[in-house]
Amino acid sequence: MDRTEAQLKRRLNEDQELNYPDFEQMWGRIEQAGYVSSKGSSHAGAGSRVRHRNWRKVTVAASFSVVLMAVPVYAAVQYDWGSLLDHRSGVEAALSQNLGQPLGQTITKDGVTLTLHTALTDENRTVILYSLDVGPDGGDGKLWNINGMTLKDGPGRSGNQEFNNQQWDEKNKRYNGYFETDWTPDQETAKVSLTAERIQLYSQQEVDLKLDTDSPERQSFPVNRDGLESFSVQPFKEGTDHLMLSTAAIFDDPEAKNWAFPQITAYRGGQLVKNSRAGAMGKPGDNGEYTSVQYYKPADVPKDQTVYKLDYTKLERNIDGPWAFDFELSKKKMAGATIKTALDLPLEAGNTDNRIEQMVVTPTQVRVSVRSKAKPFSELPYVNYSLEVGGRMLEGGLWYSMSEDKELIAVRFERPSDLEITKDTPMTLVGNYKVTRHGDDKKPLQLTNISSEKQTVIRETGGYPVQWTYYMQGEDLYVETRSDDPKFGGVNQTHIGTGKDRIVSKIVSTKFRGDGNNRSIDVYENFKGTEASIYMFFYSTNEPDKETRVQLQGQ
Amino acid sequence: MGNRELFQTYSKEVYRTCYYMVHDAADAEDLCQEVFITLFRSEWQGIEYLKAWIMKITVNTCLNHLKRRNSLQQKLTAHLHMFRENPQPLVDKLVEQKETKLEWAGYMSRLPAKIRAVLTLRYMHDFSLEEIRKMLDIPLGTVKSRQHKGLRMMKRILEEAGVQPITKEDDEYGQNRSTVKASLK
Repeated sequence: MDRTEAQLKRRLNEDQELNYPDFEQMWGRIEQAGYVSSKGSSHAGAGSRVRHRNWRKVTVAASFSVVLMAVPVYAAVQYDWGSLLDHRSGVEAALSQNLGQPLGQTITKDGVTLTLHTALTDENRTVILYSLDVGPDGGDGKLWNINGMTLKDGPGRSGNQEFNNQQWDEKNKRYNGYFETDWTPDQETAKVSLTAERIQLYSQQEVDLKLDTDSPERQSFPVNRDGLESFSVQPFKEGTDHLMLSTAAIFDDPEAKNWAFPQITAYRGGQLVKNSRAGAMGKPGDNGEYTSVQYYKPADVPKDQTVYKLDYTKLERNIDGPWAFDFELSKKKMAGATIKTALDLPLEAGNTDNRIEQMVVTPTQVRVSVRSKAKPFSELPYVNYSLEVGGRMLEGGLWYSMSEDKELIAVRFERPSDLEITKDTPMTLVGNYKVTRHGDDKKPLQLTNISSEKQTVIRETGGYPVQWTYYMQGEDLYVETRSDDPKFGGVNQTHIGTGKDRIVSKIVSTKFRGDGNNRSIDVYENFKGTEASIYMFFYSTNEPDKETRVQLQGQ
Repeated sequence: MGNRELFQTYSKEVYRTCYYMVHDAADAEDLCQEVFITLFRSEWQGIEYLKAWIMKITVNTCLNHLKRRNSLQQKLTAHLHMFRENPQPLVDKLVEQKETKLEWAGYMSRLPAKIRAVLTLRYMHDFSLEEIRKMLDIPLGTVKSRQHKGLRMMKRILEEAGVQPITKEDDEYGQNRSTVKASLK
């Protein structure tokens, strides 16, 4: 390895001087935006009908015909959006009050029509309702994707969080969808463009497999379509616990590998049988084949009652963009129904760091802004927030500022469609589960006789017994901290020595506020010596039952 | 592993990759978030080579971002500087280097994005050339030539910046990486 390579290898991995962002806040933002679905917490299973969405760019002959026309504006307000807006009750509420801005713009390419119906923009967010008419290719369960949707203003600025969601509308034989961004106009109106990169259709295909799961032999089935040449399966029985199916797909069109995701599905009495445990998909085989492993519980798939099929995805249509719409957004209508209230209230009695500064009630959301001067960075002391409004309880989410003003933290609540809010409606902000960060423990702890043997020292911090365990692993010193007392929230990071010679640890584990885990692991790479004075930056304490209530308006 | 564990395990690596790719903390933070949103929307539990797949998404997200961001003027400035006859660090670059200790991200930012991507995957994450080929979807020869070109340019950038040659102790670096990686799992 030459010197430049060695230097690169070292420097690119050296992160003690790299200031990491607050991952906890980032997690909060992702969670708030609704991206952390149940998918991740429980395994979706290889047999799931939901497929990979990370479609690679597909290079299929580009489409040419571009027809841009303005259709007459119609009363989009009366349109039935079905269950599309179930989690966007505030959008529904605004539509029902006729606060939407009709757009009525349409682009048709290759027989596929994308229509923008209504825009809603207020102080909090912008939502655009659209429909996608794909003609006879449409239907429930058809996998149409609008890829790369984004909204930009004149100078090309877009929101930090943009996504779209759509569902089949059986009555009108088209898809209804909405695009949402946290971008809103600075002024009362703004010229914007909404674009999408491409629209694609995929379909699920099934091929019957006459699979004998009693045979230990690899069984091969010719497919010869959609780029798939053949599919082979080898069953392995692991006692009565698992039937493992090792599969391999050979492609004659290598591009099809990008979207086919071939897998086995099993049906018993017409019902899809679930995989018994997580398999693995997409490992390349020795000869370039696409191999997977799937598991079934033998009792779920009795031989004479079970039918196996090969299931894969086929790219049916690709319609390249750009699909681009230009229009002017206006906050005027919403502004009339928006109540902004300046406030100056402490988030809790005696706390001067966090003050509630403003409440904005728009037809779609309630946003409570809190200015946090907490050190070393802005954060709110409670983990969970809810809003009591006229006897109802709304669950809120935290939105950390993406703008210059990093001190401002918003708590947002989606507004139910049947909830009336006036200037007199009683509203109370409720915070639960307090986590406090402390920087007062600056005493060093002496680590002695550092060796590969794990040694534990118990030292008190903030009145809690904290276990410090340290040991060498290879050339690196590991330091773990934890406490048996769950009220101790954990040590955020440690350093050895002080001043300009101090060495800052690398954090191996990541904790989240209020997750009940107070164990941390830090590492000092290439540690030399047998003794060290170790310090902590911060520790936190948890008060799960603590609550704060702040009356925002009304009695 | 759920979404949260995935985030805990890979957030730092994803962020670091973004940071060295775009050399802007705010952009890197946004991109890191974008990468995780992409991951959470996909069926990542079924992916065998999870880290390679995550880094593929990360690097490609950064490349897309840079493509969007790079105006012609920025490109011109970067290239003019890089191919100067008589290399002299620009004053603002020098100031910037003094202000931030993270000069290596600055050096990296002077390489063309595509070359930066190869060096990041190779030297930050230890991926093989073959793995990089698959991730970036380019021929193996292109991976090799970008690596060589990148090393050559980097050598020149380092000379120009007066970075001291590596010491013997530095050479030993890398032997410990496997332990760190193992502990991250």
